[in-house]
Amino acid sequence: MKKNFIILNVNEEERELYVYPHRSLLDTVRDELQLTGSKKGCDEGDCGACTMFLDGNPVTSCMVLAVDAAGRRITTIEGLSNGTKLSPVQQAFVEHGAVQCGFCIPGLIMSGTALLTRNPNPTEEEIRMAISGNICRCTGYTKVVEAIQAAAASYSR
Amino acid sequence: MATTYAVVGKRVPRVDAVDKATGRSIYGSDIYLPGMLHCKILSSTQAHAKIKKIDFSKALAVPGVKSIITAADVPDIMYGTVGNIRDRSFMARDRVRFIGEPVAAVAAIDEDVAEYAVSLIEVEYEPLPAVFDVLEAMKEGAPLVHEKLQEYEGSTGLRKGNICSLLTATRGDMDAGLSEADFIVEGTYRSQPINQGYMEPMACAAEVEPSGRVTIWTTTQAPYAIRNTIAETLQLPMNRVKVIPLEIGGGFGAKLRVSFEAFCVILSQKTGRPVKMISSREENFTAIGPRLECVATIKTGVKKDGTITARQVHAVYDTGAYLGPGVGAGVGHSTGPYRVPNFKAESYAVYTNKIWAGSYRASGVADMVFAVESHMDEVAACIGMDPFDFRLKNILEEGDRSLTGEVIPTMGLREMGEAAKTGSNWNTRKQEDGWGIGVAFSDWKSGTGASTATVSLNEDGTVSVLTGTVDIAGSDTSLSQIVAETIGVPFEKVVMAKKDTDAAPFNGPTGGSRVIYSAGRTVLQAAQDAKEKVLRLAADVLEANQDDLEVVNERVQVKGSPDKGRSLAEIARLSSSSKYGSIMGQAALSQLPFAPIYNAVVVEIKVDKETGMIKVLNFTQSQDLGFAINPNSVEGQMEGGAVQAIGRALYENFIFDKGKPVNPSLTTYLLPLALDVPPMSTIMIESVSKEGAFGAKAVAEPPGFGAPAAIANALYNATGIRIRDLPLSPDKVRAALKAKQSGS
Amino acid sequence: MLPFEYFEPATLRRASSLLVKYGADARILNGGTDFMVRVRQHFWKPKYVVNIKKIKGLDHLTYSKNQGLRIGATATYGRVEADPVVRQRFGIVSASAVAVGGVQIRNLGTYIGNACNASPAADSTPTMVAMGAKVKIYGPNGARVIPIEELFAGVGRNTLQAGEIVTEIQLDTPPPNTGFIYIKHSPRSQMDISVVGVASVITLNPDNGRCVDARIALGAVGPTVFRAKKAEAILKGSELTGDVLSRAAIAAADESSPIGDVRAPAEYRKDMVGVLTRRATAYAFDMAKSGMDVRKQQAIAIELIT
Repeated sequence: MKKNFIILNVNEEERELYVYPHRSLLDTVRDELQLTGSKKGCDEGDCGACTMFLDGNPVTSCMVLAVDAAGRRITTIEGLSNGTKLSPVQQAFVEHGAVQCGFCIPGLIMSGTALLTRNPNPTEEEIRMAISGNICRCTGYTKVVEAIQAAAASYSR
Repeated sequence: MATTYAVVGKRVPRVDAVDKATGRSIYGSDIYLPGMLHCKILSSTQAHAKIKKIDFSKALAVPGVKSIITAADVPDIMYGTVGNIRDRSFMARDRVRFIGEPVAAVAAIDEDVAEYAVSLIEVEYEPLPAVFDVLEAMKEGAPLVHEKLQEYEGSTGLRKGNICSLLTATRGDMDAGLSEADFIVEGTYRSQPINQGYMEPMACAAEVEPSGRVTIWTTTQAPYAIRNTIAETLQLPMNRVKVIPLEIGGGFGAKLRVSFEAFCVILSQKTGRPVKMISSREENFTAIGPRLECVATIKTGVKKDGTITARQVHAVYDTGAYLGPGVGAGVGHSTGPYRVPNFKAESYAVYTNKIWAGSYRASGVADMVFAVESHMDEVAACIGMDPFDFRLKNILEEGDRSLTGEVIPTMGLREMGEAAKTGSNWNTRKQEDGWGIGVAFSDWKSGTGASTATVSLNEDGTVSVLTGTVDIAGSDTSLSQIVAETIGVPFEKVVMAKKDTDAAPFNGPTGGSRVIYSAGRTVLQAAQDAKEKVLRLAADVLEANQDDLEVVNERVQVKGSPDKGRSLAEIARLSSSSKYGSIMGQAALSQLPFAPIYNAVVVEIKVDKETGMIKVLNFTQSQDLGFAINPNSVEGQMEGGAVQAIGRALYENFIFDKGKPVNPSLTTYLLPLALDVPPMSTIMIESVSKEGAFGAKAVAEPPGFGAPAAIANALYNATGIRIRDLPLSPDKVRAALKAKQSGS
Repeated sequence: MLPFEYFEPATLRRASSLLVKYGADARILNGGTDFMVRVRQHFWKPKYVVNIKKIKGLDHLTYSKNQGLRIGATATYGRVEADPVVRQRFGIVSASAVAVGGVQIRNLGTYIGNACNASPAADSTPTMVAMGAKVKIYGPNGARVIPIEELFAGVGRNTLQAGEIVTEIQLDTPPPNTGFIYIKHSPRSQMDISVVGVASVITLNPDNGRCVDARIALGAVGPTVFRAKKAEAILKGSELTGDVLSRAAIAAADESSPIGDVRAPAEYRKDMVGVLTRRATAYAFDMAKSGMDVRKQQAIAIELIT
């Protein structure tokens, strides 16, 4: 087994790493960079808990090889808040009781953020469509959708 | 409620929400320990077989592999999934009884090496006859899953063949009740295996110090149960096993008992290094007990006017390879929240060569609610009565006896039912083709069991609370609200201590809807005790009568003379040099009185008769929950439970082929997504209990009960077809519709 | 996941020569959404992985009146779905992209990767087959263009030769008076593999309202995505009355050969081919008649999916 040298640009920081080519972006960011906010719920692209932005687009990072992500712009949940200041979507999730066990929440916040960045005035249907790549077993999604609707206000202003 | 409160009853944000929304919370898989090794397990590929030989020499030779264990490395001490029988070990010893049963575990320097090593372990099996269907397993002459069943420790009511548990109950004279009836209705209902679908796969780590002390980090609803099981089976004193419960990424019952902790402990003992295990999603299907199926036959006698006269219930639970929880619900929930003067019920548990039955949101009960509430509609249809009216005619009233003999206290069952009726479209039905509406009631009792709490007042006037109860559904927030309200401080001044089993005395698990009722009452009492001590000291300091004191704006003052007082911070500072000592309140409780809770679900659906697809259009739910300490958390529990139940009604189905899990992944085992969720109307009925903190009762379990029966009833309402086995999948609906067409 | 050696060739020629050199031990990595799952499950065990995403000029998405729509090998579903020209002129293409996975998967996965992996249940493929798409293939002996269905050899098997790489999908602009729809049938709204997928493309003669061309492609009900040619023959040249639609639906069901599995029994699938062929064709017929606007087409497509 041979490791490859890569430079990962994560949350606007460049990190030099040696990784096995078969390691996923998710495992690499968690284990090597200790950014554990992105979660591994299924490791096959079904649950969305590992959602990161790759060049601005949300992707399931368990479905991306770290070597393939080298040189691209990666954003994780840790990159959304500015220091201790929560992003509007994060703030809305907190205020609207959208957080229960919380394991799916970083992924849902990433998907909600991606939607609002592209479409600041989504319909409820569009919100539900945008988060249909994220499974939440606790909330039943009702308060999650409400939170994204509430956050939309600060995007459409 | 006439009383107005400052903190309880308010929608305060959860105390853990910011950490979770920023990805900073630490879950089981987020633990990284210096020098740690990684564990992977090898699972059985056979449903029932003798283990002839395990050869791990090739695996052990892989560079980076540090240790490999099999049953030979585990003390030969059996334990039970539930308390009543000890029928299992951590690792298969001599024989495997289900596909997925752990056979060996590897510790290596990283996950890749461990995975590779596992693939090199060779196990030689001698297949044995196996049995998979629960009704087949009950028959005489069926292959025995446990040949030595009679020798196991524990008591289970009946042990015969593969039957490993029987619970029975009778009241009145069932035969007389049936002969009194104008009609007798009988039906058999079958539920399906369900995976809990928690988002966080099991993950844990263990470190054994040279002294032998063990620390376990894990995702768990029940840290003390893990401590006790590990201590007993690995022959360690309980006080040398510390369990640190981490943030729980969903449990729904699955995290009430040991998962893979023992392997990490033993591997750490052998290697002298910390060992971590993150299980795969597949292992959370194949090695962690799901809910298994239940076949229930119900016979009910009813008079023309809708009065139930008698009921007979025969329920059979598939408990898989090892006896699991909930198998007595065929008795305990055989009558639903209704008056049934004469009944006879029996509830069997039967072994099969499938994964052991685990807990999932009141295992056993949800299955019975499907059976009983489908059956209630069939009875109503038989006598031509509105299903809602039929239910309301027979519901329990205050002063009645529950099935288990407790007197029903003041409660809001009727109010709950009426609210669900008026809050839904029950009275304004659509005449559209394929449109249907259905109802289901259910009941549960607020969970009890041991809880302890300590409430201390710090020198700056803040309050620290210690309880061994872990937070899974927002309880740290609600318990903080109870303490803040009781002492008279703002919510932000209360903090729940991070806990572990060394720090806090024994607490029951977070499960069975027990925390708000039991732990809530416990922290209330501890807070009252702390406040009493504050007032006692303040009375001395202020030279006033204790009864004349009150706490206002974080100050103890004499009623009517607000300038005569001391801040709570001052009292705390004075306390450390006072004759009473520091301000610390305590409470420990075990059993609390019977506090039943009730839920009603009304579902509107649209059936596509050509495809058999059911679309849920509206979901109305009401629940008598006493008092909502935090309405956000309560609604979240109700909405979440409802969506799980919709999944169970329509497509969730954990399928086995000769004991082999067919769909052990989230690609093939379908959990509901945001687009699958109908508009939800959630009604909270606050019929306060005398015992719970501020009148609170339980919430979590019943919202997950009603939907499958309500949807099956709506399907009948829409089409006239009755499906008695779950899920209500499109192919089943289509086939039933076709059969009906060709029959008529 | 088992280890492998990884390459990022900059040119098609280099990628092709790596594939030739390592033969069956090599795998192309494109969007990766199938690759990651199958390699993790040890279903594929490549020793050499050739990532084609760094090859310049493979991610194109172009439209011109003469050439129609060209979708490059590495263009993701997400890009195609969001593209205004595709939405405007190929509503079915962007609508059927929505039937694939969730947002995150669509930002990784590609039409061509999906087609090359030849899953009979691939949601993007029936649309392409019904639209008469062709694929351009680069190979050691030069380029060739074949109809997309000729790419499929069987479940999970394609007809590519050693060193061949599919570089683009070519779609002609549909003639006027054409309606098209893809219906995905699955118990769950999204992120679910189809029980049955039906794409129907209907072109009418504006003078007499008769069907001049009909193309129906079926997914998940045979070893490959395939055209229901007997059903098409019934529709072609006919006035699309209820009776004709029903006869075509029955023909399509007869042409299908589904298996039963965890998602649905074979009998139900066959039954649904009939129901959904009739529905899809009726929708496509309505669109062809009324020239329904693209937004409405998409709304219907999404409504049908959910």
